[in-house]
Amino acid sequence: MTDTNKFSPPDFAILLLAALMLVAFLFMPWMHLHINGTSISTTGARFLLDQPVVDFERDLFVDLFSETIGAQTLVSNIEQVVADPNLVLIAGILALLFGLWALADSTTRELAAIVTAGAGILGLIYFMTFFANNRHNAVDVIGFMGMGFWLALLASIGLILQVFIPRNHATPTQRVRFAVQTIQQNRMLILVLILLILLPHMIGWYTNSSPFPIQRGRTNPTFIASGLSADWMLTFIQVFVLAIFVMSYNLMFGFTGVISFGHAMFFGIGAYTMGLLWEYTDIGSNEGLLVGLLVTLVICGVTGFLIGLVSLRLRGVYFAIFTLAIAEAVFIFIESWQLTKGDDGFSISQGGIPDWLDPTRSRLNLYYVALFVFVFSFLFIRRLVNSPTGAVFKAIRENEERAKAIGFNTLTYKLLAISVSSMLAGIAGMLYAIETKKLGPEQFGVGYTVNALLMTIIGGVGTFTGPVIGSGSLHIANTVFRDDETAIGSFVIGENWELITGVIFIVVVLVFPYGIVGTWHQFKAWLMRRAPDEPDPQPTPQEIIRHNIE
Amino acid sequence: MQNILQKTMRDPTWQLISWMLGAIFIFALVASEFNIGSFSSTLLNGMLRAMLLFLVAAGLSLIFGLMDILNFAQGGYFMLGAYLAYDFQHPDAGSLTFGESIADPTLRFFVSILFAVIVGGVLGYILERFFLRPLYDRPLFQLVLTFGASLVFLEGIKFIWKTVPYTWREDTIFQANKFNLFGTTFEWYRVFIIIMGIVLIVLISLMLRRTRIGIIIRAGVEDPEMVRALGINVRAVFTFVFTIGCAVAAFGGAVAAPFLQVHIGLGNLYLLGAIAVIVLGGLGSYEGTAVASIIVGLAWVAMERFSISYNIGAVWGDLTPMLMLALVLLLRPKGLFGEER
Repeated sequence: MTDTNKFSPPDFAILLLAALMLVAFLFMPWMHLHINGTSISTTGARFLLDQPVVDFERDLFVDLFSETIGAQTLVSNIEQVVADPNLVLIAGILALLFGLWALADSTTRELAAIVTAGAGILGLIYFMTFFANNRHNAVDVIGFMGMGFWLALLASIGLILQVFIPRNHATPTQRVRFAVQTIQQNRMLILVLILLILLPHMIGWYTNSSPFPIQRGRTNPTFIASGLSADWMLTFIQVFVLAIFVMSYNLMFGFTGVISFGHAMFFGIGAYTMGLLWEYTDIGSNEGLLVGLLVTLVICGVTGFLIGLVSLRLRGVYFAIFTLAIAEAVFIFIESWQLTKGDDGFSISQGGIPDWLDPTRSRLNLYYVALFVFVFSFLFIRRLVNSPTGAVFKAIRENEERAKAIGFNTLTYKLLAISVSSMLAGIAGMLYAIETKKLGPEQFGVGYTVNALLMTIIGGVGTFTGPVIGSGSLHIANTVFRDDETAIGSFVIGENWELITGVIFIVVVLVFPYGIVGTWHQFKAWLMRRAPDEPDPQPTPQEIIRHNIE
Repeated sequence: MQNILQKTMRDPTWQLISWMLGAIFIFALVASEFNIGSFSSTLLNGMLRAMLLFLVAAGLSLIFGLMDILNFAQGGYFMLGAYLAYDFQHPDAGSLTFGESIADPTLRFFVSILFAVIVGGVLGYILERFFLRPLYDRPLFQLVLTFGASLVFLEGIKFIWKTVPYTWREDTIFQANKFNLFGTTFEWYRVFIIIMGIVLIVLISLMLRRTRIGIIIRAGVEDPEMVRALGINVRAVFTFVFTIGCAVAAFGGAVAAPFLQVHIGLGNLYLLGAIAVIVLGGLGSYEGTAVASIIVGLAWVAMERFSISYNIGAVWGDLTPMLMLALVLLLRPKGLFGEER
């Protein structure tokens, strides 16, 4: 605590661990082979053989360094390789994330950001082209995995560049310090991100269930996602989707102080846009994704804007009323609309969702896409709230009259917050439609709004990590308890989980209003006050910059 | 008297109200396909709906005017009243079996209404005294809490009475008597409810204008700080009004149970209707609430009639309160009697 500018040993250990994990995960598929009859499986791929192989156990780690010749001879009698070049995708996502992070952070440089983001885009393009030719052999797989390594290397060069590119008002030492501090201040987030990237592989590694699609049948093969790793991936995809939704709610409720009781409407709009587009138009599945994204963004943004325009000129409670009423109206409408199959809802049929994103088939890809959108939303909201605009948001939350008196047109800022928040909720809905493939009017219902509210409050209103923690903990509790058959008298926990949720809601609002993160911050502040001998830590340059902005 | 009438006729607000009522009458006439029997039953049913809306909206409006809380749980009290009255009246239906001891169904009906009112009042008292009072310095969280309370009401009712809808089976002396209305039959009970609603409008209005507590409430709507400065325990008044508001909502649910289908969508439906009422009337205005509940009730039923006559789908009837709310917010956001905000 005495010198925050120093790069302390624990931080170094965390970074080292992260780097080790990165390296380990790049090589993980090559570490071990599991052989069972006609199939050879590693954590990365599953090979099906013509003849059963007996007594075959070897370490492929060696083959990587013998210029893939070993691997080629090994797989010469393999009929079909079922492997995804997901490592390329991961490397691409990593690079993209680093690039976006660089863009998001005011202390890093633009050029470096472009390099890393470029590496990411390149990785994604490779990934796409790989999927375009669906039949591939083992040698290609190895080649593309190598590409992933190069992309990761490129990304790290980009990161290093961020340190050494000249900046106008900082010495080289300061630059290094900035970079180190950025990593230091976000070390928990980086660690969590790396953990999340590795999670399917780690679960797959320890439970010996491949996160990749498994081939069924050889002449007419189908690919399905199954096993423990795939199950957990689905849960986490749902957590990501909910987290995006809840973060968007928090942007409005926690940071701007505008309360909506109809946020689920935007979620539903996103989901139904995607579903209707694939179901009723002949737009191809990949193009549909892009068109759906655009349409969702436009509809949600415009709807949110209009609702705000009508009701926000008035007192705050009108917005709550109006959103509740509009959401209810849309819910009733969707419930009885012919096109949306009313109360029953409909499933997105085969051929709707592109193969590379289909959760029953390529769940790992969906996992990374959801993770990417989630991280993007997180960084985006953090950037927005930490910007001058975000400072006005917070000023409106604290005291709108005062913000008005200073000369800000508070209506404009509130409308901006609501439009952005609605768009993010729409994107969450889109992902939800892809994840479940099943649409129903309940996605517009009050239940999803309650979830968003509850998760925001449990996690911590007006914090960045609160909604994520809230949605993660509550969703996992939901999945666990909804099927719980434990009964207290005639009270079955699983059947009445919503009632328990409601009671938790009230209790949290009453006695625990700052949520997990808020209470943790209070606890830390209390600890700080307990130790008066320690001098106040010097403000870091970054804090000074942040302070000036705010 | 004539003077007041002339003044009222010149007042633009009342002129607007007459225009709206006229438009609704014409619409109802069109909706009932110019059939006089169907038209009059539409009007009577509209008045009935209006009175039920008023019973929910009166508490909502008074609570909002006085404490600046929009009680999203108000619909829950209405629904709970309906369920309690139903269950008390039909001992074989659910969990409340002590209604059995009263053999006469009519007497039992009165007791069941009383029971619903008392339970509603007690729950209203609990909600205000123990849940809302700690949150007076955080208005946003009060709103969130009433929203959560509405959820608990809904889920609690689902737990006790499950999700199946109930239809009233046991006719008391009120429901059995019907009269002929230009070719359609109409229950005397419904007329009785309309009259009772009008009496309640007048009674509450008298309470607000003629009694000490009413003066305190009206003063509190204007300026709670000032009332507190005069040494009046405003918190106690808050609790009183909240309790009465919730009890009235539960009363509305209880008297409506014989002719409404008692189901779990009831609370939300009437809450949204009541919200449309108080927004149209002007937030916190009592006479606005009374007038607006009549307008919304008539328009709602006329729209339901219209959607049946012209076969455009029953959804438009349910959507009417929301559409009216949207129209009011677009065209006249301060409502009929509200102040310019």
